[in-house]
Amino acid sequence: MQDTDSEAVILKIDDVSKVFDGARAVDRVDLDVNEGEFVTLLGPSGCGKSTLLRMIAGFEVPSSGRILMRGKDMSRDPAYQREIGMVFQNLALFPHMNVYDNVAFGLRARKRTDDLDRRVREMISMVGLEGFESRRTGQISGGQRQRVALARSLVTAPDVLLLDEPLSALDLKLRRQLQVELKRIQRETGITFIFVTHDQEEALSMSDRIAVMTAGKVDQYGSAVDIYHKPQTEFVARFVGETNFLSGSVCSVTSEQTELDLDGTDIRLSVATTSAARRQGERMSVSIRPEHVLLGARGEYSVPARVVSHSFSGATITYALDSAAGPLLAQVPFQPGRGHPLLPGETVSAGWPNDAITLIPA
Amino acid sequence: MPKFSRSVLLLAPSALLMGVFLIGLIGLITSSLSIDGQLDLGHYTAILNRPDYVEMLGRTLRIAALTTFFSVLLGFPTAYYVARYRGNRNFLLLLIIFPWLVSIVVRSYGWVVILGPRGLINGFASWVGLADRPMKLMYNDFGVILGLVHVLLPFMIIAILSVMLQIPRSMEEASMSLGGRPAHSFRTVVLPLALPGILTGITLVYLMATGAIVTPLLLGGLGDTMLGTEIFQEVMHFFDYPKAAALATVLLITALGVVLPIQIFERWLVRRLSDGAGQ
Ligand SMILES: Nc1ncnc2c1ncn2[C@@H]1O[C@H](COP(=O)(O)OP(=O)(O)OP(=O)(O)O)[C@@H](O)[C@H]1O
Ligand SMILES: [Mg+2]
Repeated sequence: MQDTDSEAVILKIDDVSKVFDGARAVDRVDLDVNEGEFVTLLGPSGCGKSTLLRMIAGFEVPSSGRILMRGKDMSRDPAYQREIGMVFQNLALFPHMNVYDNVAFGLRARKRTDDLDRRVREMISMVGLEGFESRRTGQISGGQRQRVALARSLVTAPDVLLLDEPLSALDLKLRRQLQVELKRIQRETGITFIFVTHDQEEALSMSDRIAVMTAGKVDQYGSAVDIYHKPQTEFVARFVGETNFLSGSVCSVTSEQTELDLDGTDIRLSVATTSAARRQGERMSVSIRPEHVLLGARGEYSVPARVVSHSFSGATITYALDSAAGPLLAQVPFQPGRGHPLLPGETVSAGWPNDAITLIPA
Repeated sequence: MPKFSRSVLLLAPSALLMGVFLIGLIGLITSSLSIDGQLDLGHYTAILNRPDYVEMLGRTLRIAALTTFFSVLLGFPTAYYVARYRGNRNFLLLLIIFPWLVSIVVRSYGWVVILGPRGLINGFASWVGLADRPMKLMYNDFGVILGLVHVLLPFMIIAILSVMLQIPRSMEEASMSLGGRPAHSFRTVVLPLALPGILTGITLVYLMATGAIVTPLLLGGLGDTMLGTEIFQEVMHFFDYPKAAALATVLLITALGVVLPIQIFERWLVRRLSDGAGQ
């Protein structure tokens, strides 16, 4: 996938904070972005995603810390001197210009007019808007406006493109379609994308790396697979996908293995020690994704459970279980003809494999 | 109730007002066009044959134009600043419309206190020995323009501000992120988008300045009145309604001669400023 060679780091966010009237909107964030990478900032509303993006773009000055572009500190350069494009949350298309002039704006502003017409038309065709050149931005659909915003910010071939929830206003179907297209365009242009969203599915499906943010901090920065399967905090585990939390107390810790006595059962979990591990006797949780919970006496561990409710969603069925270790969600594949779903009140044994468990500090 | 009749009902009060206004306007024009019940352009030829009236018309339009010019010059930056102000904008708004709470007479008289031969400035100047004779700061065009700008500036600011507030900050940010330096962003984005507000302000201030009565009366020279004041005096002192009506119609036509083209050229102007920016 991406090499993490430091040579390839195009953007370095070095201990950056932003304070608004005493409130820390961004709190000591460190982040490296590699050339050509698709990085997503994921987090709930108000966690500081836009503020971080605006500092990279040059609309806000960090209260402390540095932002380096190819090793050069640009924290205080004006926005128009940075080679950074931006697609705004509200798109911010120029309403007094047509599609063509919107796309041409950056080339004209930077006085790169030699090849202007060819480059503008090339960009317009890349986002599939041929024939719409002379339309005003008020006379095209939401998805088309999205494409204009993208074309406008890409025409100057910026080093980094920032996208602030560009798809959030669209309906689900169009959104999926544009996600695919965005990925294609990113691959074709090779431009580094920093994409903001609060939609975890969008983040998982599009990103090379995801930075999960909460309350101004980056909780975890890693590949989509790591974020989903090796969440390092309870927040990350809960925010990205659904998960089960079971708690227990640590009975022994070595550098390789941590053993945990699961509350309410006589199960002793043996988990690979992570940086999250605690000393003996302390409380910890484990996260188990619902799709890793197995029904029937399977998996390394199993606890007796009773079905509380079930919900059917096409390919899978999700059971809410009441187990000895606490409430559990189990998502199992559903195949018609292979027996009926379990009914509320039935008892079943719920288990999970050892490698499905992630240790989380309580 | 069907949608149509409801909207008609909603329009009724303003339609009534417009109707009354229109009847007044027609009455004004007809009375200016007749002598002893006969259609006659006599009032107009009489006006145009009097050099002092022609000069007065010229002065009125010139003062109105200068007033408008200075109002834009002061009003645009103020409106821009207020629209982009991150703190308590309402307080600034209050400061701007505060003069409206004081009557025009009092406001204009305030300038007499400041600019008059024995006013603050001249008093100070003679006290420090800068001038041995009082400077003529009022009872001339300068005083009138100053007074009018003071009275009319809030209209200009509010007209521009109402449009500026509709322009999201992200417009300028988008321009900057595309490499637009402040001057470029201003010319190609802010100005074209604010233009409707500026033109509304220009229209408003220009029309009000051409019709000004009180300020020129208090701050203007005796010999060089403005047309509005003259009309007022024709009515109040000489009871010459037809002549006043003819003067008013002349004023109206010349004022529209400036205002209408502005409205017509608005679209063209926006395009000139933004599209390709003359490349
Ligand atoms: N100009 C500002 N002045 C004061 N506080 C601000 C300013 N901009 C942002 N904030 C505050 O900083 C915090 C982070 O805001 P930010 O816009 O970065 O959140 P976000 O993660 O982008 O949220 P959303 O998903 O809703 O867009 C919020 O609490 C917000 O109220
Ligand atoms: Mg945001």
